[in-house]
Amino acid sequence: MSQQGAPLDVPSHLKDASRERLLAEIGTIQHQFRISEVPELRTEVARLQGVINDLERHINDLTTRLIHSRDYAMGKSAELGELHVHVAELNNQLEDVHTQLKRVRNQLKNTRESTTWKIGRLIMLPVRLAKRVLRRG
Amino acid sequence: MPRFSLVTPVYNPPIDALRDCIASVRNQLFQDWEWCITDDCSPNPQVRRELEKAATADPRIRLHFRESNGGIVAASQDSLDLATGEFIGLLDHDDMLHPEALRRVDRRLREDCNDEVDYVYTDEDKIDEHGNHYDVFRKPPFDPYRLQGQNYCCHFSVFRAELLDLIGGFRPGFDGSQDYDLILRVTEKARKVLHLPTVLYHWRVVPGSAAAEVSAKPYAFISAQKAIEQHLVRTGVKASASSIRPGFTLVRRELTSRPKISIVIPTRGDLKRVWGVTTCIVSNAVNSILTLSTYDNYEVIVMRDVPPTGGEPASWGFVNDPRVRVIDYPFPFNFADKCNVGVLHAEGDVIILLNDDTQVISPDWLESLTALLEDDSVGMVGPMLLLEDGRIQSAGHINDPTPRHLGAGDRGNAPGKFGAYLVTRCVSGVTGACVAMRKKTYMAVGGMSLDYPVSFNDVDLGNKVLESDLKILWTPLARLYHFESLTRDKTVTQEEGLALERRWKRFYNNEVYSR
Repeated sequence: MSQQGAPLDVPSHLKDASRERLLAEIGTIQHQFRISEVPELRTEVARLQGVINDLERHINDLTTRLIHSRDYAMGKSAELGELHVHVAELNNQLEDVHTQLKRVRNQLKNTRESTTWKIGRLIMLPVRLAKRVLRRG
Repeated sequence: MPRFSLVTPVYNPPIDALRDCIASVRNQLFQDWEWCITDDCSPNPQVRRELEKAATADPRIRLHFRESNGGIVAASQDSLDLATGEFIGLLDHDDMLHPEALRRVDRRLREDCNDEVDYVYTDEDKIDEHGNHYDVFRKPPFDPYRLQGQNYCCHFSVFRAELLDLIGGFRPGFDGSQDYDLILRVTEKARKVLHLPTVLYHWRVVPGSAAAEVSAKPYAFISAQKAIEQHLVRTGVKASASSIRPGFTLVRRELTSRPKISIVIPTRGDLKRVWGVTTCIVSNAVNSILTLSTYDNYEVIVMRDVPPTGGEPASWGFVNDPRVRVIDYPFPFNFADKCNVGVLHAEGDVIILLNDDTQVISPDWLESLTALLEDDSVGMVGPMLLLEDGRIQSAGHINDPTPRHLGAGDRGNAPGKFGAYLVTRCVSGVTGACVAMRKKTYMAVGGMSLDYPVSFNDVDLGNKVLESDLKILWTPLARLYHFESLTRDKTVTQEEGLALERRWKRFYNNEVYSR
């Protein structure tokens, strides 16, 4: 059973042609293609297939390089994240050291302002003076 | 308007527990609260006396006595109707709040500059009759998948009052799971849900309470399943829900499309003893896929070493199967690169990386893994992997202290800590022995890094997925054997360990999903 498709676009000079004429026409066309164009077409198809293969290889190479680049970028971004964490840790440590320093300075200041320290200095005054005299001598 | 309204339905609690509960609220360090209590006709007259005594001592305690017993939903709603606070906290009549509870929640809410947090939940523990604390439940950040499997948010839950008004409060017909139903409806509408990772609620264990025995209130689990089913309908998720054990619902999502799945199996064609017989493991894996899988739109890509280092393809029974392609890998061994090359050959939109020493157990494993990938916020899905002896090989990854398998060596039917092996949930990673991803996600994150030729490539891949703001899900619905020995020599090179540290050390000892 034939299937119904789009109507054929029949060339005008063949519209009313006889069956024999049509068969002759078909024979001529078949002959032309068999003799001259088919080998050329085959060569062309092979050439195009080669181009397609080359392009596919190229696409594959590029895709591989693309995913490697993406991994590299994400990896570097992750490493940067690590460095940020490290910097934050160092900042915290620095802050701790500053706090400690401040506390020690305060302690020192308090010690120097204390009565005990002042009395101690007073007691040691003769010794310090003697040392100074000796050094001059 | 007070900052917080605590809402408590009361029905015949043990008097000592009620006193402790009252004391725990009155001892809150944060003062701007009211407590709305509804007594649902408790038969013990002492309950009323205790409540009235408390209300006399503290005007912030507001009482309502129902004239007839209406059940927990009616009593909870009556309390909610009394509430005038900006935020509503749920407290059961025999439980206790940590003295810092309201202060910590308030502080967390204030940290949210945009005032978008509509729901906060905290960690919880249990407290026995002697006041001993145990069973600390350290919860994950908000995980809608886990919430569909169990009411893990539970206590202490604090909601924005406006949102509760909007959704209409508690619903009749959900007795015993009215809070679960409420939480599900709140999370559907909430702009932001926050987890406060501190134990601020102590769940009293008294004989017959839900805390003591999850099967104490069977009606609660029927309600829970109903709540989940309705939640799935409201959120437009095509899935079936079935109660697997008290407190747990198995939600099985339907695959709404029919994507082509490419299963990539790198192999050397090794022989190994499996089920007591020396077997070509890749043949075993592929045959299990071909014979068991119920899904039909897939291809298997076997990446084999050239020159062969294991068995010859001629001995592989599957080579002539149209669903299988064998692709040569003529480069020096690099597992990560082998996977990448396999993915490049894949025609499917969904990729499953599969080790050759695996065997399918669940016939619908492809549907189960792929259905979860239909959610665009999910980047990676992994199954339950079992050892040959039926123990767990991996139920996801955990960064504690360094990346390792969760559940390794546990019984295959063990529920896991707080049911972690029973429900689909977010995890820190899944093992590369079986992992499903959309191909576009795999490509977008740069596939497997060549810096990890043998180990940690899956951990790195997972971390890249997480860094891309995508979820990693683990599901018990798909089960496979992974014939890896628990005692196998670790082939981790120092370079790979250092490379992983260089990228992801901040994740170490920083586990949030399986604490």
